[in-house]
Amino acid sequence: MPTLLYVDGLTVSFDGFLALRNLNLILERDEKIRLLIGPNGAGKTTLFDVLTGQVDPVSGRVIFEDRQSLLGVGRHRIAAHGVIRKFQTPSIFPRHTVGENMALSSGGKGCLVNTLAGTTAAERERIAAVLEQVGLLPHLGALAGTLAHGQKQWLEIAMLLVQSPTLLLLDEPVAGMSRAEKERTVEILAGIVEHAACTVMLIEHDMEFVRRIARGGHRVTVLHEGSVLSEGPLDRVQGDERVIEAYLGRGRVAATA
Amino acid sequence: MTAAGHTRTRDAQLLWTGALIVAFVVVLPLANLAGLVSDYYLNLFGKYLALAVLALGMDLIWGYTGVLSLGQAIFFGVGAYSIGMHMMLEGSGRGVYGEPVPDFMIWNQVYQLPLFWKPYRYAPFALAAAILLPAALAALIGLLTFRRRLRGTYFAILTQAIAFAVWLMVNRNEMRLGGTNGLTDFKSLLGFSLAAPATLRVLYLVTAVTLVAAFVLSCRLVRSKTGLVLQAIRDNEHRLEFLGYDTSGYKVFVFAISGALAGLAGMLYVPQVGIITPSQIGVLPSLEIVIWVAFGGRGTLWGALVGGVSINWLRSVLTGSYPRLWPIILGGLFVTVILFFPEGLLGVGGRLRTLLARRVAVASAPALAAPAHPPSEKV
Repeated sequence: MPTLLYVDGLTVSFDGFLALRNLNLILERDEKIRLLIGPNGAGKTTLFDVLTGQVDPVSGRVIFEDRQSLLGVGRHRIAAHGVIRKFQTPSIFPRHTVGENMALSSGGKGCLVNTLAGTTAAERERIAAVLEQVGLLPHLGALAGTLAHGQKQWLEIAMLLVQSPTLLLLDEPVAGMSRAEKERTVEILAGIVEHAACTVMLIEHDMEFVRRIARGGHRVTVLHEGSVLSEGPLDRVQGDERVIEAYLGRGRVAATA
Repeated sequence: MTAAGHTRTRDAQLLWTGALIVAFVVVLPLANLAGLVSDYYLNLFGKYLALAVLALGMDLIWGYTGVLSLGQAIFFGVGAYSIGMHMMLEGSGRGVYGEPVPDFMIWNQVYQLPLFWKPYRYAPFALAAAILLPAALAALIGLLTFRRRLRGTYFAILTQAIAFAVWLMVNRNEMRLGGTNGLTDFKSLLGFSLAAPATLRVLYLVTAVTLVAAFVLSCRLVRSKTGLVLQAIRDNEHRLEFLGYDTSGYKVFVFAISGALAGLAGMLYVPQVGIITPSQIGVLPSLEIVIWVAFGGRGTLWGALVGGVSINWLRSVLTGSYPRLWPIILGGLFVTVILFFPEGLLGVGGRLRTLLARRVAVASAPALAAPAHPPSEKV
């Protein structure tokens, strides 16, 4: 089966501290969503940093779509290959409207084209469709800075979707959200998983959220101290002795300390 | 804001632009013809409107893109000296000495026209140079700085240093640009005598029409997708790069446009004022342009316009009665605006409007809220 992402023996060192240790991970091309969980410092965000070109590993390989290496390639180029990332905090343009944020994300990025042509009707339709998907279409003309926290996160997800990603990396999309907002985010993600042509890789701490997403039998990867501890459907992962040890062991240390 | 809200603001914009055209292109010249506004005042306003073009350029690079240029007066100077050199040559042979070179060259024992002056004999060259040379100069400075990711304060300091260097150079007689005295004693422009009131009236009209055109084009630019990108550069440049934008290209582009507008302003300014000296192209004039835009309201084209015209009008009024106090007044205005009205005059206007709207809403609210109140009063 063709693989979307092939991560082989990845090691990242921050001044001697190994954030990733010989990490191996394979994403199948027909996989819809992969959940990435693990205790703090497990290396989840560092893995995303390597995939998007922010951090260079000491050793290892990252092969995208069976041929393209993502190591040593510029950030723009990685984005152009369709690997698009959402950061933990919402990063939108607060003084632009929702529609303008979307227009900035879609279409051409050159100065001349944008001065003379601007956003086409087809792009505008696509923007409307994506905003509909995340439920922000009624707020098209609202300033992005006036949106609620959850809506800002959805706007950023929409800004990523409109770029037609192949691999969408989401880093804790429900952090700081209210219960109702989380419910809505689950629906939005379910919609993306069902309709979009991309594969989503999702980092999350919120176990209730993970449980809801993983209900569809999607695979969960548990990272611990920079390498993969366990992988498979959520039930099996949760029953894994080593996973319980990794989570509870830490808890015990914290409790006695 | 809804789609209807957008059309409403667009209609309001159109209305205001129409009012601007009517006031400066129609009413003022007609009032002058009817004898209500003297030629002197019309000429003064011509000067203010030329400087408003300069303010527009400053607003595009600083107000919209967030790049503080402290060297806008250099570009103004290139435009001003370009048209000045052409007018000097047009008047050559008619000077005190009757020589084919401008009089000031005779004082410096220069009897042959320097090579770089020669193309300025031709009016089309001089007019094109007044706009394109400053644009090219700005693009060059932009390419050398923005591509190397020189940003913020460092860019401001660099442009200020360039302004100082240019000022020092132009002051020297060896530059063959008239030294500290600059260029003056212009006789005519394109064959029309500058002593004739009719010529100055036409110059006023040309300036007013040019300002309106520059304003409308700037409006279109800031509302285009490029305009969105420029404002996004101001608000969060790194995020924009992550979306795949080469932001340095956009900054070079808008800096070149602001340079072109500054040159255009200089070209319109000099024939109406009759003199250009190095004192108008150095560090201090560059800083003053920042004050105009900050005072009027940066990030809105109307703010640049209002600031450019009102401060220069104030200067004319106040330097007449309190010439020594003017720098202090100007500095005081700047500090007051930055501290208390960071959005400038237009921001104050907007705040008053929302305050007024709220008062009206409060006044009409009891009538609406009345039915809801009685039950709660019983409790």
